[in-house]
Amino acid sequence: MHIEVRNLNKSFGDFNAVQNVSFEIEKGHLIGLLGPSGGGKTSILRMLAGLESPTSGDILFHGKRVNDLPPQERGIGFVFQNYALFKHMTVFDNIAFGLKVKKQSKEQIRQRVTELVELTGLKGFEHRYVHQLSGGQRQRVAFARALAPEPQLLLLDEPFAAIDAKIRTELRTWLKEMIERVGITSIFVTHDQDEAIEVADEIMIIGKGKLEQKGTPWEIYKNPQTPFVASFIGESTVVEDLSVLKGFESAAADHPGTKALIRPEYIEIGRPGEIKLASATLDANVKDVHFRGSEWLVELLVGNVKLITYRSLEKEVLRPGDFVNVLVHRAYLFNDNDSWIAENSLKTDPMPVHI
Amino acid sequence: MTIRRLWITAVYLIFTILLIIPLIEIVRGSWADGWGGFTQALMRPQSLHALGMTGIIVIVVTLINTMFGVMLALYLVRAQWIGPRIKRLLNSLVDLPFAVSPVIGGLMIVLLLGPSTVIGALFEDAGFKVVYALPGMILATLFVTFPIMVREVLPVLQEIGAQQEEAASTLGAYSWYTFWKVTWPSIRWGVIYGVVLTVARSLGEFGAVLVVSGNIMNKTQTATTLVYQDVENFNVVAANGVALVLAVFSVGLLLLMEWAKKRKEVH
Repeated sequence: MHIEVRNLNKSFGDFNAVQNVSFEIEKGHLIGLLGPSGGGKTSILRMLAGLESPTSGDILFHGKRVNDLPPQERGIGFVFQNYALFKHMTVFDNIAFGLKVKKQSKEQIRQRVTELVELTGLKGFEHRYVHQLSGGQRQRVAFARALAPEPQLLLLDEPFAAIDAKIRTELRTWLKEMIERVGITSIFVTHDQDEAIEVADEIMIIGKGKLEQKGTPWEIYKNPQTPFVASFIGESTVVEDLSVLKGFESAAADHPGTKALIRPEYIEIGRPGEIKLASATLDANVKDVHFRGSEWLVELLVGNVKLITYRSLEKEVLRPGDFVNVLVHRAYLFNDNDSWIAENSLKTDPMPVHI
Repeated sequence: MTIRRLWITAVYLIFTILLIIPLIEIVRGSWADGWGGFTQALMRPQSLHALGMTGIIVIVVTLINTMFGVMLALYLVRAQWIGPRIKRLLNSLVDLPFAVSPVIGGLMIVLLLGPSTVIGALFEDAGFKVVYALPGMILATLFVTFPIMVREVLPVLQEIGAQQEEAASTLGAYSWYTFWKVTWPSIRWGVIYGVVLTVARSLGEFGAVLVVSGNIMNKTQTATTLVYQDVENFNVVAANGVALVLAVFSVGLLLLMEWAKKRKEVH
């Protein structure tokens, strides 16, 4: 289903949960609504479902305004955060619910449920009750139940939040595969950036009720359009005083009040002499190192500015207090009016050898 | 240890004095003149009429109360068109009959709908007697039992939340279908529990009904007010006989309630 949202607003009393959100979604896409908790993501989803009515703005499915259509007639499937399965029904009856409402024949219902049970790998569990299922199985039932009446849009509210970390990654891949196989336009809400990046074709970043940016995960990572997006996606530290950073002084001079957001992967560190562009490096002390399973997290102190970066386990182990050289390859610079990505100007210095 | 034993003995003692001995006394009293005396007491026309009145009141009140109680509970928990402030006000008003003495409840009805009031006179002109007649007695019993169903169903509705119902709506089900297929199975045992309590309460209601009915024999007398009148007339055997019938019903209801409670915990 092609979806368009225009100037959507939702307020609860004085609180503006959603402010002027507009977007368009192509048929068959899998979209992740990403943002911090309480940012209005779920409100947007519930308005798309018709469970909440917008204060103002339009929602269009296939170019037709659906604001006044009740949820029953929107042709959507909704997977709730806690699944909201019908406790007094078996897995079979849960999945069959939407079909029974449509008054399909017993045979049709049996066929469709069997098909979905097989698709979701729930074979053999048809006659169990909800409380006899694990978290992962419950999610599969919720997914199958939402898909049963063949909706044109699938909405998922924090679909993985109630599942433990290990199964979560497994289910993510499973869900992405399922949605691709069914070919249904889907929107899911999450506060977990890894989840959004891994599962979604496109991400919409929602912060404080506003749509900050929409794009593929790679676009958003590479080219964040607002400081909020830059700080929300990936890891980063913000440097308030740019003059400390060698190679970015000119930017600081041209635009007073500019701050820098630096990601761990923008930074290269090495023992003195290890980095070839010695002229572009900063002197730093290792403040602390933490083992992170597959690499070291290194905390650095440049003057009194703290930076973080990762270091391969293959390289020589650093210790707190060690003196290192730091090369900041690029930084995401922003001030009140503007934001842009700047490369280290000294890296392209034509005569680095002479210095 | 000795203190604990003392407490246990005290509990048993109070239990015996307050419940067991009176029950035995009722049974003994009703059989004082043998089987004949018992049946004679019950077969009096006023006894049959009074028990009939009680039966009608119990059935009508339970039906109305169940429907309105469930409806009000649903609105208080789910309705979005009622503001939170009005909801809070309604919620506390529901408990009013619990706080007010039944006699005062009955008096309020007499003061509002009695034959000498404007509304009461209007009804009477239309040939519909409220006070000192069955409608008033039903109204009084409704007033007294009103909070029971709401208080049983409301917490259950709050606990299950609206999500299952919302899920049903996204699957295409409208409110009636959703209520019977999704909401009802969850609140069923709460409703049954509420019905049992309502029946028990309306069976035994005395104060409100006494004030509203005027206690006219063979006209507006219920089982409880008949017992009261028999005692006043020193007709102890008859009083015990009618009381025994009420007590048997109550014990039966109590057992039913225990069963409902157990089922409620299971689901």
